Amino acid sequence: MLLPLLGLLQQAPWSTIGSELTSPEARDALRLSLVCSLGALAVALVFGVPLAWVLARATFPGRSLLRALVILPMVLPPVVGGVGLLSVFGRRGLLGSHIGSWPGFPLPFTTAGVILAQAFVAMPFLVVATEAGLRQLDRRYEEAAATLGARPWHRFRTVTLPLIGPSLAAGAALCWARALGEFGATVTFAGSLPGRTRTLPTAIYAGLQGRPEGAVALSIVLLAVALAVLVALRGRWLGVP
Amino acid sequence: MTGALGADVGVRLGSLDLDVALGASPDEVVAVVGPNGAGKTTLLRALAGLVCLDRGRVTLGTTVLDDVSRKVHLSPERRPVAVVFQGSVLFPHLSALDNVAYGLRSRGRRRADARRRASDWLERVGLGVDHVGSRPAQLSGGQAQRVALARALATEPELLLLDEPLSAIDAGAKGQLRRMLREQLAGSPAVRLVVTHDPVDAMALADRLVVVEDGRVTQDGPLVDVTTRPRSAWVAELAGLNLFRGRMDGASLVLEGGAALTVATDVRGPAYGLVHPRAVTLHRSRPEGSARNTWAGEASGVHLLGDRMRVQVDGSPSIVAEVTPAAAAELRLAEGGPVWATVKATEIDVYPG
Repeated sequence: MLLPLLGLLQQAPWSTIGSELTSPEARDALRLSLVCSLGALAVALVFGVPLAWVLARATFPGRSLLRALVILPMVLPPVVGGVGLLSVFGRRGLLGSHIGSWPGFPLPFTTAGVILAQAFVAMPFLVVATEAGLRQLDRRYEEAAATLGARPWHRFRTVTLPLIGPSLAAGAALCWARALGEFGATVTFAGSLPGRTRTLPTAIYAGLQGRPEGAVALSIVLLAVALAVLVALRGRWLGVP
Repeated sequence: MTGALGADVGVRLGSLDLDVALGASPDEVVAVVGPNGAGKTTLLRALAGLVCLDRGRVTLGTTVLDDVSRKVHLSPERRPVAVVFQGSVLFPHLSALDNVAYGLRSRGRRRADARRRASDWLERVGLGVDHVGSRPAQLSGGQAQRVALARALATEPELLLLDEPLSAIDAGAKGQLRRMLREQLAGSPAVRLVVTHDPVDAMALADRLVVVEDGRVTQDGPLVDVTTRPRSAWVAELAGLNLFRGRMDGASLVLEGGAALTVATDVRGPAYGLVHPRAVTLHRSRPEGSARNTWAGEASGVHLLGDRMRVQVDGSPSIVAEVTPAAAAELRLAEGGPVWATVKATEIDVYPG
């Protein structure tokens, strides 16, 4: 497992890494990746937290089916997800043919498309962690808040959210890291247009054809981010306080 | 001005079938007692609005909190009700002060105002100034319970519900906490209901006892009445008394198990017979005498209670006797074996069942 990492570090153009990362292409890819992954995280938070709430708290027929659907993108090959998104939002897609003329549409091959593709793939990480946090939460804290006169939204904001904070933060970190590294769905649904949809992973893939040094330098960036996330979450998984 | 509580609560929850009618006025503290699993906590949760009724109606003064037939159910946050939960349930991410301020903030008070009032309440329940800024994890069980009480009282409820407020408190801190609780309950204008399984707590805190067993009220009355005229084996045991249930037949109380006790009463029909363990005398051989209830049994357990020995006698009926340690030694009761129990007819307190 270590060999690919060592290979990457050995191949890294350490002397020129600064100039590799500040080249216009690299800067575009870094900027775009940051914008899109944070955008995907925002989308995942807006839709994922309520979804996690429903999965953890509501009882209705088909809940396990809904959970399976939510988790599906975790096991689905990302490229299939990309094809799925195309078949919905593409020019001749299920919805795309109707809303394609709306402002901001069509989505494929746009920055918004990248965000959608990343959110699709990465949201399950957020939902699963948040749902687990909600399930572990002692319901009596919310009941106590209710008896103290807190209305549902106030209760959620002042009691539920702070108490599931660690789970939510871990889920958000995973979700963001997954969105940052997303390749398959992005390239399928949004392509690899420099400055518009060429994020770090697609830039690395494209760079390997012509300038491997640049690709390796960008890979080092993603590796560093992955390690940083791992270190930030170490308390949760490795049992280190 | 706070109004009285009128509750008729029907809840089915798992194997529990709760069906309880209960009234309480603001000038008394009511203890709801009973064995574990009897439905006491469910009753309290229903009054707080945390459990929906399947049947019944709950009113507080002129406010209707629940009315199943008219589909009225006020959610917990809209009821003038505060709860001290078992185990405190303080918000772990807030300081003691902010826990107490929470209810005031939820009801729209400004932060500074809420904190000032919260700090007053913490002083009233006797939480030291050093602990005002502490998180619940840094507080002892007794301190946490003080904060929980302050948090409930700060909202100035019309109905105050306490669920086992003194359980999980170590014996050393219990007496002091019980006194504080008693004072604070006495000073509150709310209808006050304390759920407990501890008879000592009930007697220390309440003016009236409501006994709930298996989802039903088995007895409801002033402390003295309940403990001197128990109507269930649980209450009798709690009071340390022998209770027999049966039916009067002439001068005999015929028990459910078939045995009969000779009594001196003019009660007719179903009746209870109450015998203080001290009124039971024990003998190793069949005693001489007349007009007494005498029967054979087996001494099955002996333990010291204060300066007396309590002896369990298995027989028909089984009974608990209290004898002096000297008598216990003379009769070698610790060894067990056959004994004769006698009770004078006049020592059996009979009242209608």
